[in-house]
Amino acid sequence: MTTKKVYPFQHQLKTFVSIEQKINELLLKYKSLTNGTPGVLFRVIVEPNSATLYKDGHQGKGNLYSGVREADYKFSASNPFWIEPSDTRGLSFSSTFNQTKFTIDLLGRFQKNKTKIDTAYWIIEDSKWIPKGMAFKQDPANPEHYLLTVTERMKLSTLVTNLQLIAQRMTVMNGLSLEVRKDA
Amino acid sequence: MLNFSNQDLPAQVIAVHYAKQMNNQLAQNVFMRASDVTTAADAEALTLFFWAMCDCAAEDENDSVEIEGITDLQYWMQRLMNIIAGYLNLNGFSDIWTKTSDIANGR
Repeated sequence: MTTKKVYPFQHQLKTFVSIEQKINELLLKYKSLTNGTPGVLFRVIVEPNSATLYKDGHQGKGNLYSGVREADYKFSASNPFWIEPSDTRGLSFSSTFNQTKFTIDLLGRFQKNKTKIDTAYWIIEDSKWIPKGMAFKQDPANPEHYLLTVTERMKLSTLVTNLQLIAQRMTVMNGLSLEVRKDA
Repeated sequence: MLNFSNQDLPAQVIAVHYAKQMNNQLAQNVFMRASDVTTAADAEALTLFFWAMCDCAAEDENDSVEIEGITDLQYWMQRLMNIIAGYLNLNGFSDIWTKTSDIANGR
């Protein structure tokens, strides 16, 4: 007997359409900067994590330090309480609907049934609020993917404070939650 | 050729592991950097392989499977998605990646 394949979001296509409309509306409102940087970036959030920090047990199988995933930043080899600068490490953001949509599809596969998934966004013109020592950088491997990087060596505690400040200025798209349904 | 930076080498290890496990010669060749995707048919096949690999990885992570010492499969699958989508985009197969990924996700 073959098992019918279950797609976690198959019965939530209307929500995807609404997310696409909202993202397109934001992309139109916040146009790309003259240097090619998009005007707004999108981040997929899996509950119960916040927009920028993870809760223990909800980060996947990797290590977590004060809500920061070890894989996301370059922890100092000699002192794990310090973060080294890197252009290729950082929290993941998308610059297009398709990139956001497929990130949702991917992360949904790894979550328990009924887990809620939200999309939040950061408006680039608010980047004056990005704390010193941090910046968005385009992923060299994918032009539709951006990383919230550390540009100056800093303490882990400083990074955590910075990420909290950034989360406060991010907006979650209200009413556009998706729910993992593996028993659909 | 598909490029893996030093920090992305675990992504390559995992991709080659699943390509061998799923007996997918195209994926083995691409991830081992033996050949490029040059046709629409190969771009579609690689995209379908990617999502099938994600299904396996999600089951394996749930079962705490370790692949050559790597356990954080969710993180590395997301990294692989960015690498593969970027690679297909660079090679002119962005539309195929999008359309095929929608199909692979039940849309």
